Amino acid sequence: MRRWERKRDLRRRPKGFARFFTRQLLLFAACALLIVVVDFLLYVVIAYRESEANYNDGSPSSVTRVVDGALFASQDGAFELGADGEGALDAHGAWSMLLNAEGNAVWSRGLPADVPTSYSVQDVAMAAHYAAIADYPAFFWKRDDGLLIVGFPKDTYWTFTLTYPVDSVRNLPLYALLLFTVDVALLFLLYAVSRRRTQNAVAPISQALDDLSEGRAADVRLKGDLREIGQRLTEVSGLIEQKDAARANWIRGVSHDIRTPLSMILGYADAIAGDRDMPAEARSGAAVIRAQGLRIKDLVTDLNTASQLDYTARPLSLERVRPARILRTAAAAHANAGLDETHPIDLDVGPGAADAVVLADERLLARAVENAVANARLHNEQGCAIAMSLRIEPSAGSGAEAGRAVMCVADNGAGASAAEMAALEGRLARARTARDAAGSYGEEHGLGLVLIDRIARLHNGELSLSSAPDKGFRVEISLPLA
Amino acid sequence: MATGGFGMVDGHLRDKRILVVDDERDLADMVAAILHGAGFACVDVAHSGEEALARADGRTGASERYQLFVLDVMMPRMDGFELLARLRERPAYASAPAVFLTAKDEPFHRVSGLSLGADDYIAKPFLPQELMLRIAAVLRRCYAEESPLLELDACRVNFATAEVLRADGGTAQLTAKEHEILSVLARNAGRIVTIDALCEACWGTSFGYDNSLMAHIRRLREKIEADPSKPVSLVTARGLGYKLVTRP
Repeated sequence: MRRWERKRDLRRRPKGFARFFTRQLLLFAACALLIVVVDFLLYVVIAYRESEANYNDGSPSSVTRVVDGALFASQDGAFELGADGEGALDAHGAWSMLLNAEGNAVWSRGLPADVPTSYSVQDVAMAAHYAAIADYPAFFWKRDDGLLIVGFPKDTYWTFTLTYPVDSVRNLPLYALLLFTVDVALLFLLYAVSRRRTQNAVAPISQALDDLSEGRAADVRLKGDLREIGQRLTEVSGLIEQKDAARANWIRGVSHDIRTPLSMILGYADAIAGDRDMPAEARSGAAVIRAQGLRIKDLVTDLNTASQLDYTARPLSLERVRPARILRTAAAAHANAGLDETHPIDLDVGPGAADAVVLADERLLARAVENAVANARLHNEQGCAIAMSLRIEPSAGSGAEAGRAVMCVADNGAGASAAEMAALEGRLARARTARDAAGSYGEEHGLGLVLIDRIARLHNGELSLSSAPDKGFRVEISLPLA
Repeated sequence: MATGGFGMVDGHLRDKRILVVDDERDLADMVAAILHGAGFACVDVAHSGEEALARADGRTGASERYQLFVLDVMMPRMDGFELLARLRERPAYASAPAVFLTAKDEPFHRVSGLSLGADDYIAKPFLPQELMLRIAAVLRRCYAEESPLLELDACRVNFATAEVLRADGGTAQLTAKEHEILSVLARNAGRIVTIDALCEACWGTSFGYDNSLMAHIRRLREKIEADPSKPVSLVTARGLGYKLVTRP
């Protein structure tokens, strides 16, 4: 991947909006899972507490055990219940009886009237199966001397008997696992479907926000609940477009209106500066007016160019251009305007560079070179020598790129300190991320270098600056060869 | 206005009648002053398209017709493009040269101005020297047949016969290509003409004729310079192109 492509990828904004919804859905799924787990835990806790409450002291079987322990046959054959047995029975309002081997009650206590005192084998089997005698919940205890039955008041216990094949019971954990898996799968399906739905709904909005942030128009047509959001976004996009157009028109209008008065300022200042009949002081003053007028001219042209780059849909008209020609034309125009008296330009076209061709918008590239020259002039008003050069650098990486043409404009003037260079680089970096170049206007260096950087980038090229105090200032624009 | 320092307007061009049209009175007056200062004797000013047409038709008392128009593009009621179209409808001005002055420098306007038959297009703001050189170049191109003689330091060139009459008494004949190259340089006398512009004018492309151009320049110098190794008329702008220095 070429350098500039990688940079562009880095600049791509993350799809934050869609990610937000994905996270929301994940959170939703996690909540559902949490509910299942919490339910399970609650079930375990409740079941444990219930069994604690019912199957120890207070449970029917323990009452039965107590009664069994307290029931003794006296020497005369009669049965007697100890005090703790009586207490246990009374505490539950329960009754008790002892059946002998023939099914006849040989002892009983508190027996209700509707409970029979004699039982056949079938009666006992049915009573044991349903754990009830005449609708009284009943519990059985085998003793050497018979069968002890403890009955509780009606509707206090509910018993059901389960009969399952052994295989089923053995597979129970498997069934539980299956249940859990199906639940999780359902949850995931739900998550996937709703994620897809949300993404489909949100994708146009996310795309529109990306478009807006990169300065393109957005038109969002949505159905359903998000329809209003889409309409709003389209409205916002229209508003931004209107403002952009207004700003572009405004800049174009102002720069147009400045040109005519500036022509007069330049014309008369030039005439006075060149009039040998004028006092020297007046002439040098006029020369300053002329220099400053040229500076305004550059500013206006830059502002106009920046506005065109920012607000024109297709700012570049690319063609095969020879950088050598552009440098020659710029240097010749500089000389023909009489600017070479104080700022002479020397052009050096390196070996093999004269016929080098790049794919570029000739007007913009010429503007970049003019800006570099104007920058040298601006920071060295007392005069300096400008060295223009063109060289070819072979491609560093694989064969994808044919190499680069490096256009250089260097002066031997005042230069800039390391701190000034750092500030300048910082400003260029900020301008690169700004929505528009014209918007980054307002710091001390005008638009000149920002515009060169912008133009270089539009051509997949790079701007590099170097300078040191009293060592001059060097501007290099490198573009991939066509 | 003292712009005599340019001194590049050939004598036969100085009596060309020029009409400057701009709704900004001050600017029109300044352009007229620059042209006066450069030696043009007859420069008139109009501040609207209607006034320009009236002057061009001789309705204001002027009897002679104009030989060059300098027109502003953006004017109320009738813009520069329309004015030129109207002027060109008149047989007297069907081929009169025109230079546009405009506050717009967007390519579309350049194209529409030149497609109308304008001879040049100067973006505001401009320096007087640039204006002068370009107007002089347009005049030289359009009225070349009237001044077949080019006065140089060491010779006189007759473009009509392609003959070089040297100061040392010798003569030389220009080849067709040499004639062409010298004409382009003469039209732009005093300005650097880039290698690219020369090649484009003479071969239609700027690609691959650098060496041919250098060979032609060398032979030209042998014909027009006193010492071809130290040229004073056809001088080199190192790395850029060439400049023809004429004798005032």
